[in-house]
Amino acid sequence: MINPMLRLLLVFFLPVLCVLADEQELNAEQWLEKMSQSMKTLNYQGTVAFFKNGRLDTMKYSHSKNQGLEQERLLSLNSPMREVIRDAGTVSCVFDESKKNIVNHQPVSQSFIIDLPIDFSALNTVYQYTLGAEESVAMRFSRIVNIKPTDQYRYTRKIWIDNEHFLPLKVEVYNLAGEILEQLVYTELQLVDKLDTVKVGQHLDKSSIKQIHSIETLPVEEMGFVLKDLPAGFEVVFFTRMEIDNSDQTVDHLLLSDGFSSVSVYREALSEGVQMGVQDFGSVNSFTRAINNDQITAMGDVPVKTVQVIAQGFTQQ
Amino acid sequence: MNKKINQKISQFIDDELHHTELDNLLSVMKQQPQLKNTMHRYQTVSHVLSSEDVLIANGSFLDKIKYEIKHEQHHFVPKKNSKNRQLGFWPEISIAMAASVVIIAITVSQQVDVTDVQSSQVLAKTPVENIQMQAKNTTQISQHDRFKAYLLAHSDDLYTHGSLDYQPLARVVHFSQK
Repeated sequence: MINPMLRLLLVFFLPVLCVLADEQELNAEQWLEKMSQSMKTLNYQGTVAFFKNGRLDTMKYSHSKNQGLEQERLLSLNSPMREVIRDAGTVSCVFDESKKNIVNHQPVSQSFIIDLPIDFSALNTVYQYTLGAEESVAMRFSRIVNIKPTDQYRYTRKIWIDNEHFLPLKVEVYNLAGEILEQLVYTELQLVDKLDTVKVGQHLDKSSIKQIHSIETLPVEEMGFVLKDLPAGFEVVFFTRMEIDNSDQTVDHLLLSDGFSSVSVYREALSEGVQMGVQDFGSVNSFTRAINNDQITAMGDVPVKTVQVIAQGFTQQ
Repeated sequence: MNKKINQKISQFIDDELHHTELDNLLSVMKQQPQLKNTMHRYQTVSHVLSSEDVLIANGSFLDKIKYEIKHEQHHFVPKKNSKNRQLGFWPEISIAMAASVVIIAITVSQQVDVTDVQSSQVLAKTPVENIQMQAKNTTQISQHDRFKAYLLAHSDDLYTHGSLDYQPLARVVHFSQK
């Protein structure tokens, strides 16, 4: 026979205990979903160290959301001094000392911290999400979420997610041999109630701006090519045209992504002496091939096999 | 102070520095070797943003040079011993020395610092006098420009690292020397 007093206590505290248990028993996918939500909605700032291709760069980072509009801002701490702002889908970069500016109207990445798919469960066949250990990063408790591909077309990732606010505190990308390709880690992070939006281009010298992707996106059908044998999970994000300096030739740019990894495919008229096959630029791999009078180059932070398969899957309509 | 020097470095790279200020800048850079790194960073940024003609060096080009230097045979001059002295050996040494002097002279005149090249992956100006060589480079230049544009459109590295990691680079630097 249960004591009536104990029964009363159980009635009151059972729902609370259930909620707490639920919170603790989030699975890896739920952690990622919460992280994705927090990254977009919270106001936060901190110092982030970016490590890639043997280079380390530390920058001040902030994310704000005002009146439904997101803004990301990077401020370099070391030369070359620069400020980068992602605002309404456009990235503007101002080099303080050299007074050179870049505006990319159609950036490939969606975040300076980490690119994430809209629907994690849709990628269950190509990525396995598992929970790892608990570790501290930037004096905050975090939970590691492992994102392991089920094929050889993409890289493994690990994300350290803040226990309290579900923000990514550390991200590591590994190549197929299990070596770290890229690392990003907060050295300090603060959440704030409000962050003012910085106005872009206030002191920008308009004449020195290099524009990228100033042409609007176009229907994929205009490409004149069809994609065959795309690795599972990769989908078209946008198709546009761009210009190369000192050239009157335009280049078609098709962006494919599985949510975490992106591959750009460039198509232009075949030039003489172009090196075909695989090339690597640090962690970026590329594969170039010729189709009739066109040259196709697939390029991305993905294994060689991926760019090769994507480039070879291009066939004329 | 540093900001002023950085501006001058930037002007130097953009070929906007007056020759009277060039001597001062070079002497300051001699006293502060860390400024060389600043210059290389600016060169890389300028290179990324500019559309100047560039020479692309093959990925293994520098490695090959290093390998050749490492494995080059050493010819030691024998001790002055009347028994070992062979008259026919001296012309070879003379030729080798003359060749070395020519190489050093060319290297100094072009101000190529191998360690700097490795650290910044930016080569100082190499006057291309051979027309055949120029013709051969035309396709390489356009290919380099092409990949530069591709990477600029694809990667965030310029924002997060201040430069794009397409390597190795070779840049044709020019300045108005009076």
